[in-house]
Amino acid sequence: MNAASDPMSPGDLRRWLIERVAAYLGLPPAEIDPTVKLRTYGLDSIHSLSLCVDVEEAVGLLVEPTLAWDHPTIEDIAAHLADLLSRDPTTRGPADTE
Amino acid sequence: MTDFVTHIRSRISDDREFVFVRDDGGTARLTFAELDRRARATAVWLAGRGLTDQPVLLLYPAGLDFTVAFLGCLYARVPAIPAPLPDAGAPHASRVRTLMRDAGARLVLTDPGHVSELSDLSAHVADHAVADPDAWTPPALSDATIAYLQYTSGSTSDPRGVEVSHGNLLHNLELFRLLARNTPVRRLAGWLPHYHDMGLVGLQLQALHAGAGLVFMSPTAFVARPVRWLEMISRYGADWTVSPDFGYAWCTRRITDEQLAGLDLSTLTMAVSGAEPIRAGTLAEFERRFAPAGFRPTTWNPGYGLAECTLMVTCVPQGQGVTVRRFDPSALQRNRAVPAPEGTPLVACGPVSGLDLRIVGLDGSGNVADGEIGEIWVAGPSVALGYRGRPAETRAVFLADDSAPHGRWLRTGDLGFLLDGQLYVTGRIKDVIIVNGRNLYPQDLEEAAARANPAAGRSAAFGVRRGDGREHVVLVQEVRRGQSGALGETAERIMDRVTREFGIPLSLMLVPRGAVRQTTSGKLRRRHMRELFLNGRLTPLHAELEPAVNDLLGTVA
Repeated sequence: MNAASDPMSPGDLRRWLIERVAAYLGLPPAEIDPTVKLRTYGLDSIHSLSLCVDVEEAVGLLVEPTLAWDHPTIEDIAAHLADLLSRDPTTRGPADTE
Repeated sequence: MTDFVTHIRSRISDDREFVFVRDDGGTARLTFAELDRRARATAVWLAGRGLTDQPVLLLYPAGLDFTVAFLGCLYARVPAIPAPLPDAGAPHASRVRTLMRDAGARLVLTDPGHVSELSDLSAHVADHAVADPDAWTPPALSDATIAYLQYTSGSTSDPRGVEVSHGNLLHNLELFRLLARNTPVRRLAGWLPHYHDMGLVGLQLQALHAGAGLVFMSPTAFVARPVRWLEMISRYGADWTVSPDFGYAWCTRRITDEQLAGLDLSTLTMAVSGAEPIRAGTLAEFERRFAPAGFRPTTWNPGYGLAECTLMVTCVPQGQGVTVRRFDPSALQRNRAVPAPEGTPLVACGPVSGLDLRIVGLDGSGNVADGEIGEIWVAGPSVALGYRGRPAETRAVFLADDSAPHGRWLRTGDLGFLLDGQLYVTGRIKDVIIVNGRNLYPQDLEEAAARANPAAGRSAAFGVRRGDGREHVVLVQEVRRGQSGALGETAERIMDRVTREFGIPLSLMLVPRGAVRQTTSGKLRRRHMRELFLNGRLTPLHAELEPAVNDLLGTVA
């Protein structure tokens, strides 16, 4: 895994999250509106758990499996992750894992 | 031989083992001989507490401790009740209590790691180290002795435990053995939970019965990193695996090219798919994706079954591959299977073998001809004894009939037809909804909706099959007429609640009071509501429908 050396901007986080969620759901990324609740697209507990795994592996943050219910839109999740990142200087942003 | 304990004890050896792959990748192992030794000690512990014939609830995380405890129960003639380990929190504890009350269980067993958090249930650890395995004497067991209670039927508030006997288990596992034909299973691999009938019977008990090795992991580890399942098959050279459709689909979607390059699935000779509707697309996509790793299309074994028949009713035997046929969708709606080149693809679930099966017309007129859809009825030694402590429900589902083979027909509540010697499953008349291999009961969803909005009226939950073959939950909820803004908020609140509680997306329709129909005796008419919904005959005050569900409306005749 190549850890990105640059800190992630909220825009980068948002793009990365959209790409991940679209992959779980089998949807084109352009169809995911970051301000719409993810359950609208059919996100379920399996996808939600996968998002936690991907966040842990690529962003280096440990998050609750309820992430997608506590922060129901991409915007909400991105803001939450950005907040966690800003508090923890040892973590990195999303890496180019795939 | 008429009992499972005698059967598996004749296969004890030191060269077969159960391997549990922990979430961190480490392994725990027990040989059959050690499993047997610990099970005997556990049985001595249970018998010493006077628990013979008293059901015991098993709340364990995935792992070998469950296997030891389950076997210990069987060795002690204690009906075992495998159930999911509850998360911390009140609603789950009350679910466990309801289950114990229903089963008449007074004792909970768990592993040392969970005994303190389950202290409010007075959970115990059956410590095999403190009892002497050589003090065990086999209890009198017969084919009619209850081996375990399978609680996968019924809602949380109204659970139903299927009583599975030693005779049921031996018969059903013999059907499994025959599926393998001339290539007996050597090592199984899987991730299904042990409280799921397919995880318990299809993995754990099948391995013990066949004298095969088992390598398994937790369902959570699978969902988080599905490649781990296929890596397990590769590393241990497994030849047999089982999963619901969703497991195969999840692998196809999640496994990267880089991960794929490290896999070797060429040792697999049996990949059973069951426990939920099988999508032709899932099989074709998995085959395409994993052919480079050595997966062969002849490996598939699509099957059909239910806990009331121990596990399996029909399954495609080894090496025969998948039969997919297409049928005219509008004829299917009229309960007839008419082949049509561009029609709806259905996956054949195997021939009838070792059990008696009939398709009964929905008008109650008796058996229907091949190619006509009706309710699937099954008879034979795999058909379970009934529902624990529920004679009325048992009589309604396990029909006594002197002319039936073995005296009873099991009404499965599933719909299907026979064609060219194969069973096809098309839907169901019972209320259960299956999402990702998990049974959801409408009552539980309706109760969650009521908790989100206590002022609302009645609601009806049901499943619809989307165009891609996946099931989706629809909730029709009565509300008072109100401003559209307020209705939108109500809808949000209900959907947030149900999604969070069950981890599933859903479609919601808010309707005026009186729109959710009941029978004159006050029974909710869910199937009728489903028909009204699909035919576009409900007048919504507000609707939040998934696009794929919206597409279905009015297209169903």
